[in-house]
Amino acid sequence: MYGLVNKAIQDMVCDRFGEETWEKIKQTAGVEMSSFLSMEGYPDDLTHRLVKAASEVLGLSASEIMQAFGEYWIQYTAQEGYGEMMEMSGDNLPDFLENLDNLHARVGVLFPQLQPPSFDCTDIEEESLNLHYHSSREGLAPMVIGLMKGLGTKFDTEVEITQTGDREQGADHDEFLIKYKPN
Amino acid sequence: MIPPYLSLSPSLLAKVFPFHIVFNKNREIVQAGEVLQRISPESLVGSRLEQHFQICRPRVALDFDAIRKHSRSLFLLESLHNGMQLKGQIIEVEEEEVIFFLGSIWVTDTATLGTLGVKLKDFAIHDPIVDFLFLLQAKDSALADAKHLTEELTQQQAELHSALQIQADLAEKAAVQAQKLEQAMLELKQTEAQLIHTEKMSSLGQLVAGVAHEINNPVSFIHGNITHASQNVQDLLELLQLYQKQYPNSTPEIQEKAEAIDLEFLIEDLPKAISSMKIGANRIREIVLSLRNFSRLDEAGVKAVDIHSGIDSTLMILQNRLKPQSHHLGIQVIKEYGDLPEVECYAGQLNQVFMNILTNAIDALEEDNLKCLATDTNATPGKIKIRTEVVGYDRITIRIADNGPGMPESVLKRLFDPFFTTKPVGKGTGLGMSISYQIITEKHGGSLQCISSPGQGTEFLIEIPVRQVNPVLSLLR
Repeated sequence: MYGLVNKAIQDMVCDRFGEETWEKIKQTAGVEMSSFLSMEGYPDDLTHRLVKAASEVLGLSASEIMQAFGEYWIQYTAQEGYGEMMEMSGDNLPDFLENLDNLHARVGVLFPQLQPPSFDCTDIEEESLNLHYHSSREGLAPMVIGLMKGLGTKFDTEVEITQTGDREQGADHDEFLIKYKPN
Repeated sequence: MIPPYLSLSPSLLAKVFPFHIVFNKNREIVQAGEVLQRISPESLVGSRLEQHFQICRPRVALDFDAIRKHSRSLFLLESLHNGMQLKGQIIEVEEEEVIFFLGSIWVTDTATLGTLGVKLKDFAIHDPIVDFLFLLQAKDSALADAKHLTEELTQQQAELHSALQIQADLAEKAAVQAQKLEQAMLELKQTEAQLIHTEKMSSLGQLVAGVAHEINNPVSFIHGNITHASQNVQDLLELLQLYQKQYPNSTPEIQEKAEAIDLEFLIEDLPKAISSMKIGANRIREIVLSLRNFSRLDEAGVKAVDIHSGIDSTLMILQNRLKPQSHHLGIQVIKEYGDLPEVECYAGQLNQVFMNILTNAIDALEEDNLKCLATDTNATPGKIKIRTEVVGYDRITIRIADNGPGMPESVLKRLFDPFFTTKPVGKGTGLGMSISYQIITEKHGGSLQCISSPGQGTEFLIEIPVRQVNPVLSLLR
């Protein structure tokens, strides 16, 4: 996982719960490093440990934390300098989602070691589409739900997300039905 | 290899090159990419190239023939309206007598694209400019990280420096405290030693002075009367001889008594006995005088005294240890006294110093002598040399040297430490040299040094001023 993700988790915890809580989470996770490099690849295990520790310390389920993180990710990447890039990626939610795979594909081309996920949109209708999520990592589907919510806020669009395919339930990949309605 | 035989239709070409321009021999723009047309402030098609663009690279005149020769050059066009740059290449289509400029917008930061009204989707998918923008952003992120880390490192360095400074300060304080503690410990030891010594010396001095006083009177009677007694005995003997001469034939009873008491021997021996008694009485007088001189209880303060008399008194007290005895050959004392003035000092205390040094010298020489006897080697006669002299204008030195076994460096280093002794338990207190050092240095403002090495004997060098300066006066000066 690339450092930007770990940094975002750190930023979210510090922003919402304070530095002390973050230190406690790091201690619980057995993570000693004080900061992460955005474009450096870190073991996935480190991120999983941080999420697990945050779950223990904050008394929330890992799924709840990942959802919250997904939502936070949209505003975090914008403030970290990727705002322009996101602005240019689409004027509305379906446009943006269609472009989502290209964004990740370009990251993967430039930084192959980061192994970004891939997205695919099918059954695109005026107010709905099916989003297919493929990742080499496990347990990040709740983050996608959070991401959709975050994007809904960004584009001022009402979003309803339903997971229609679950890799943990034996499906080939995670699939979501996204219903949207611009406000 | 099969030569290319397929080509894109004009509409497909326009799709993959949304920023392309086509102009004819008159440099009239005959075709332009859809996105380029959209973002261009003025209509492109139908106008001339130089109305919208200048060629930054290569350096070529805006002339069809000149441009067509640069098919291998990287072209950089700049919009005359908004500074927008287009990067690409030119391809001449001879049959149509037109030149294609195939390229894309060139920016070095994402924000510029926003001002031009371009979205990512406006670029052809294959266009590397988007990847380039990603790379730029990654570079910015990395730089921001590096900056953040540098700041963190600088702060940590400052904190570390501060912590190290605090640690160094603490260590320094601890060292000073330790030194103070050590000094306090030493002073405590010295005070303790001084107390023990003072108490001991006070009792011993009183005892010695008391004994000397008590002996002094009866010895005075003996000494005072013995001369008369000697004269009387001489007179009586002369009278007896006169009787014998005048009355050679005395009565049998007298003759019997004379034989019984061995009169002949008695007449010969009595003067000798009286003479011996006289010598003995004199000796007792000298010893008593020495003891009184040594204890000097009557002279507690500073007084100008004859240093030599103090040394002599000490030697007198130690006389029995200097004489040859069954277990040692005796010790020869060599005096090389200089012409010393009277020296202001605490005489009793100074005598104590002489006593300590001389006793140590005798102990060392006796021990050395015993070792020689035990190993059956020829013992060197023990010698103690005492030399005094005036140094400079106002100081004197007293050197007391022996030809004993000497001391190793380890002993020499601790010689003046309180309670340090090399003697067996019960024989030495370890206070003698420490007290002597204090007496010389602190009480008299002098110095006491010991020069010694194994096999080379030992020499103590006492140096003291002739006059003692009042410490209060010295502060006022």
